[in-house]
Formats: sequence, C-alpha cells, structure tokens
Amino acid sequence: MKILNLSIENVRGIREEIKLDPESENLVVFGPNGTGKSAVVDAIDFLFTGDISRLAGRGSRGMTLKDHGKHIDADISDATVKATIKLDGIDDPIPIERCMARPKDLIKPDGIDHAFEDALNIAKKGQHVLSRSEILKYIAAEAGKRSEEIQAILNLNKIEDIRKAFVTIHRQADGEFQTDLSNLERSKSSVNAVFGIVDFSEEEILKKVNECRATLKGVAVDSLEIEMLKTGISPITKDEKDRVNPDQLKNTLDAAKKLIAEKGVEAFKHENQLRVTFKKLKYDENLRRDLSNKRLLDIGISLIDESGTCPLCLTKWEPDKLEEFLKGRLATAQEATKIETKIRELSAAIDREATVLKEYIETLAESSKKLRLVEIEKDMADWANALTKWSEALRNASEDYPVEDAPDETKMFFAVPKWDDHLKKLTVTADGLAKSTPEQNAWDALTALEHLLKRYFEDKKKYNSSEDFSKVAKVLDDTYTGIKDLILQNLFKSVNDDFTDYYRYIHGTDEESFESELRPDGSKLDLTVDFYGRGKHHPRALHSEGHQDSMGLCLYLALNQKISEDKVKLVILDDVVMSIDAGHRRNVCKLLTHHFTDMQFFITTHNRTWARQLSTDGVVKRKNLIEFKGWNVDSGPKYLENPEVWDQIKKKVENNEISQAAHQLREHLEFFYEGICDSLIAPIGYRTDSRYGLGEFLNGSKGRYGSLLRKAKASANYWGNDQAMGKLMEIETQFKEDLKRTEIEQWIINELVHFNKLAESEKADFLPVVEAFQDFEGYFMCSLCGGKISVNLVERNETAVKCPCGKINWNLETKK
Amino acid sequence: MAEKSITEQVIDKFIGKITKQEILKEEKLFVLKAVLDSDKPKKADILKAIREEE
Repeated sequence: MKILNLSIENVRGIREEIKLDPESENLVVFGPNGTGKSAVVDAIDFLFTGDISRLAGRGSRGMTLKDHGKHIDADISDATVKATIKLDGIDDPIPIERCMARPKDLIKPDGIDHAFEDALNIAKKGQHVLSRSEILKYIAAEAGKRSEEIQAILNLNKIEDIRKAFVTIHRQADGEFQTDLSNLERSKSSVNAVFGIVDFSEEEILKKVNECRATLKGVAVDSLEIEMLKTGISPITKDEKDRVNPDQLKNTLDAAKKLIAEKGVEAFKHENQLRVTFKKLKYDENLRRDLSNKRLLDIGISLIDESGTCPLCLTKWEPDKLEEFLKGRLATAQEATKIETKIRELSAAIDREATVLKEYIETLAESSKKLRLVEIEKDMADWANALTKWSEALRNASEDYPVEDAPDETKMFFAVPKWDDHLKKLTVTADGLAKSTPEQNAWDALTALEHLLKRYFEDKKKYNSSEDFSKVAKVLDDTYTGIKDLILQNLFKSVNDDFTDYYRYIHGTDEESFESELRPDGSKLDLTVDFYGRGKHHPRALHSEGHQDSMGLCLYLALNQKISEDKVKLVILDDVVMSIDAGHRRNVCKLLTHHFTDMQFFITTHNRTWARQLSTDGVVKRKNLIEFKGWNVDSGPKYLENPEVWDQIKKKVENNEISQAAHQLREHLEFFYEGICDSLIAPIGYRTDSRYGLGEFLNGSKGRYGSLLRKAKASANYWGNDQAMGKLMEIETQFKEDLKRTEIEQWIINELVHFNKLAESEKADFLPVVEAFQDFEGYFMCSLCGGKISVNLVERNETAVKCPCGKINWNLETKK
Repeated sequence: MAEKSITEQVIDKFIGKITKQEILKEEKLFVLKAVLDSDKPKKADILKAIREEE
C-alpha cells in the first residue's frame, strides 16, 4: 500500500488545505522548525490509525485528539485527511478519508479486495512512523523495555498474551492438582481415623464397614456406597449433636501424635531443603535461563525431520547429528530442570502432611468445643489456621517461597506450645467419657463415614479430573512456549542479519566486520553490538550518538520488513538522521535506494542540505521535494512544491538581487560538486586543513567527468559497441562546448569563490553565468530520475558510471 | 499469496503440533483455534476451550 496523493485540512498546525502528490514515490518535506512538517506526519498517522501518537503516551497528560488534534481555530468537523492509495494487485486507486469529528470511522469504498482490509489493519497499528525518540526505544533502552517496544512494533503482543495465558493456566492447573491431591490424602486420613487404621484402601474400609454392619445385625454390602452404609439397619440410638465418641477421639489423637512423631522431623528437613533449593534458583540467572531454554530444546528436538535440517535456521546437518547436538545442550539444562522438579516434589510432600495434620487438628478443635475445653479449642483453631496459611505458601512454592527464614507457620507443625498438656487433657477426658457399647461404636462409625466418604468420593473425582487437566495444561504450555521461542528466535535472527547488513552498508569499510546479536532472554531482548573487534557491548556503551542513530534506523528498517508483511509499503522517517554525519547520510541514501526499491518513504527534515542530498542521491525526485518555508497560525504552513534551486536563483536575478543570487549559486555549486566528487571518486588536491571549496570541487568534477568519458569510449571501442561510442562522442562534443561556456564566465566564478562583492554586476552579466552552470549540471544528473551519476565499483574495479534509475549506464570495463 | 504474520505462524504451528499429539478432542481443537485467532484471546476463553466440562 502506497500513497498516491494526500490532502490535509485543519489538522494540528495545518489550517488551509495542503495537497501533496507523491504518486506512490518517495516524498521529502523540509523546512525550518515550526513550519508544520510534523503536522503532515500527524495527519498521516491520524488517517491510518484514527489517533495521533504524538498526543498519547508519556508526557502527554492533558492532551486529547478532540482538543489538540485539529487546528486550534478550526471546527472539529472541518479537520480532515484524505488520500488516494495504491495497492498491489488492485488496478484502481482507492480513496480513503477520516474526519476528526468521527475519528473511529475510516471512510472507504465498500467491496474492495480483502487485501485492502489486511493492509489497512496493519497500517492501523501505526508502526510505519519512526521518529528520533523512537530510535532511542530500540537502541538505548534496557533489555526488558526494548523487548516490549519491539514486541509492540512487530505486533507480537498477542503471541505474548497467549503465552502468558497458557503459563497461568498451567500453573493454576498444577496448583489445583496439588490441592486436590492434598485434599484426597486428608479425606483418606479422616476415614482412617474413624477406624484407627494406617494404610487407606477402599477394600479395607469396606471390610470395616461390614464389621460395623455385622455388629448392628446388618447384612454385608459388596461396594462402598454412602446410601448402602446404614441400609437395612435400625438405629439403636439417637444421634446426639454434642456427643463425642471416646474411641474416635482417641483414634484422632493417636493419628495426630503419630503423624507429628513420624513425619514432623522429616517435614522440617524437607522444608529446610525447599528453602535452600528455591534460593539456588532465585539467585542464579543462568539456571533460570537454562530452564526456559529447556522447553525450546525439547520442542526443537521434536521438530527435527528425517532430512536433519535445523527447524530454526534451516541449516543442513548430517542425519542424527543435530539431534545429538541438541540433546547435548539439553543435558546442560538438566540441572535447572532437576531443581524445578525438586521444588515441586518437596513442597507437595510437605503440603500433603500439613493438610492431613490440619484435618486432625480441626477434628480435635471440634471435639474440644463439644467438651467445652475452651483453651484447647482456641489453640487447635489457631493451629489449623496456621497450617492453612502454610499450605497456601507451599502450593505457590514454584513461583516464590521465603528463602531466608522458615515461615512462622512451619514452627506450628510441631504443635502449639501446650500440645503435650492438651494431649494429656484430651486423653484423660476421652478416658473419662462413658464407654460406648460395641453397637453404639459401630453406629457412630457409620454415621461419621456418611459425611467423610461423601467428601472422599468428591475429592477423588476432583483429583482424577485435575490430574488429567494438569497434564493437558503442561503439554499445551510447553508446546506453545517452545514453538513461540523457535519462531521468534528465527525472526530475531533474520532481523539481526538484516540489521547488521544495513549498518555495515551505511558505515562501509569503517565497520565492515561489524557484528551484532539480538537475543531473546525470557521476557527480555538483549542487543549487543561489536565495537571494532573488541567484543560485543550494549549499543550505548561505546558507540557515538551518530552511530546509535544509524543503529536505530537500521534496526527499525530491519523490523519494518517484518511489520509490513509486504502489504504496507509506506515508511515515515520523521527527522531521524540528524546525528549522522553527511558522509554516512550519503550511504543512508544509497541504502534506501538500493535495498528498499519497493518502499515509499516520507521523510521530514529541518536540514536543507540533507533534503537536497536526498534529491541529488536519487532518493526523491525533485517534484516530490516539498519545502515548508514559513508558518502562521491563521493559514498554516507556507510551502513550495518542487523548490527548484535554479528557479529560485533566477528569480533573485530577475529581482536584481544579484548578491543574494550569487550567494545561493555558490552555496549550491559547492554542495552539488562536493557530492559529484564523492560519487565519481574524483581526485582533488589534498589540504591539511580540509577546507575544500568550490574551486577544488568544480575542477575535480570536470576533470573526472572527462576522464570517465574517455574510459567509457575506450570500453565501447574494446567491445565494438558503435551505438554506445556514437552516443558518448556526442556527449563529449557537447560537454566540451558547455565547459567552454563555464570557463568564459570564469571571472565571475572566481569572484564567487573568493567571496568578492558582486554588487556591481548587472542582471545581464549574471544571468548567462546561472544558465551556463544550470546546463553544465545536467551532465552529472539523470534527466529521468533526477539522481546524480556515480561510479560503480566491484572489488575496487570501476565497472560503470550509472544514475539511480539506470538510464545513464556507461560501461567502463575493457576485459573480463 | 501474502506472507503469514508471525502470530499466525505461531498459532498454526502450535495447533498442528497439538493435533498430532492428540491431547485434545477435535471439536475442542476447533474451538481453541477460533479463540486464538480472535483479536484478543482471553485466558478465560482459552481455559473454557481446553477444559472438559464437569
């Protein structure tokens, strides 16, 4: 998707309608600060997104689209942006429009191809604009922040949101499973306590139930069903709400005592190990990284096919070698996995014992209440609460656990301070209670079982379900995370490769061995860059501001290849290369023209020289060079389309402003021929002070053009290319004539060079000079693309002289 | 044919892998894919899509 034309009215600093016609080609808007250039960027932003990003985010409090998106004096319904866009595969231009009164409504024709909607959806994210402040987000940011920004620009937030959802679901499923397991153990222990047995089995409980039923003259049942417990048995006594069965009380006391005696020391030891283990994982970054890599390696191994090709970078491996290599790396992650497993096992084991103990303590608290033993009841209730809190901490131990000191609750595992006294008192109380008959005991046991078995079956069902679900959740989490990591690593590798290529291109031989590494690390994204072979460092650590700016631009351009999905071919560079010096900016031009031939760039700059460089280096045609010359609040920017320098100079001559015209001519010629000396690799006399001027640049360009013309003729002669030879001779003849014209006016040039006053010159004297130089400039420019000619080098051999579009193409080679 | 977005690539590969692993029934897979393809998949919807009804 590219912009054919654009109309902006009453948006930000723009009041009267501005019409721009880039016709799907690059456009440059330049002019001093405060002339409304950024309003053009804001208008395009608004057209595609329905918002203006400059009015959102940090530092924008109090700014709204409604109040500050429109021109300050305009009615919101008059603030509109219209464009006609061109989409690959669709012949007709598509008109679109958005008004600030209804910012959410993009007015567009119905029934256009779905590719149009796809492109609009991508453009809607507004990621095609790069400003100076955004460069810093990618380069200067910390790894975590960079990751967020790059994820946002690549629209990876959804991928990350889904990952978080799967991780959370997995953790919750694990937590539920652990809770259900503990609850099931608790239910089993409660059932055990009724009969004073140690090892739970449904067969054993059924046997005990039938013993009770036999005591109560009931027939045996063949399955453990709650409804069948008392079937066919007549109640021998009424159930008394506050009655405590002494045998069951003693069974519970014995079970609690036994659990504390047998498991207490072990649980304390496990808890200590848990803290030490968790501490190891918490403070060891490498272990945590290994843990996340493990998932990736697991999935990578599972994706290797018979060809042995790496699923990440598509490198060919010998059969089985890649799998062997990855398994080797997997082994190094085993340590981290072992630690994670150990944390889960230890916390689950302690939690099971704590939950069972809590159940006993709650039963004892209830019995104490019935027996009106107030102090014991309170201590038991506090103890049960402490165990509940500890269980919660244990169930979250994979994420966090106190590493320095044991939680207060753990001290309670060994019982409250007066446990021995309470134990004695409860035992004495149980002994003092009236002995129940065997029938009463049997009846009480079946009554207790009615409630406990119901809970046991519910817990068993929940346990089975949560066990199955936790397995599913684990597979989904591991698989998704593995695939996400694999694809993103591939993506970041590709972005990194492009970034490195672009950066090397801009910095040429100075950084020809430049390397970089863009590496995801959990939720972070590390970027390290080579510093002249002295190792990789943070991009801000050693590189200059200009280098950082070019890194930001290169990284954005590399990322943009992924953002646009080949659908949005528009990139807006809002004043982004100002810290980059003129020499490197020339390479930026080459990068844009050579690597991004199918993109449309909108470039704003306050730097006139850079704007002209963009024109002479073929990035933008002269017709798309728009100069914003001034601004006032009532009418908005004053702009000049196609600000042809020769027209401006001639206009000054017409107005008899000879001195101003001469100054502009000199400034232009110096700028232009410096660029020509660079593009034609023209030799100029060395100066220690490097203060080269028009004399050096002009003579260097003339001489070099003549020598290249001779070289091209020699090549045409060598290859017997008569057509090329004829054309070159024609150029040479004309060149010599026009050269004479400029030399005739040499005295004025000398005046220009030496800054002597030209006030005495008349219009008639100066106009031929201007025309002679305007004509002469044509030798170095393409009449079709407006770009300047340059020497093509292949391995330091001059192979051709070309313009950006290729219309001018002199072969310089004479042999292969 | 336009290139798939990164998000689409991740979701498609994930669904493909899960299908092979046969850990979810076909109708659940279909619902899960629809949830993941939506603009803003919510955790609650993903959970609903993958959890067996009680």
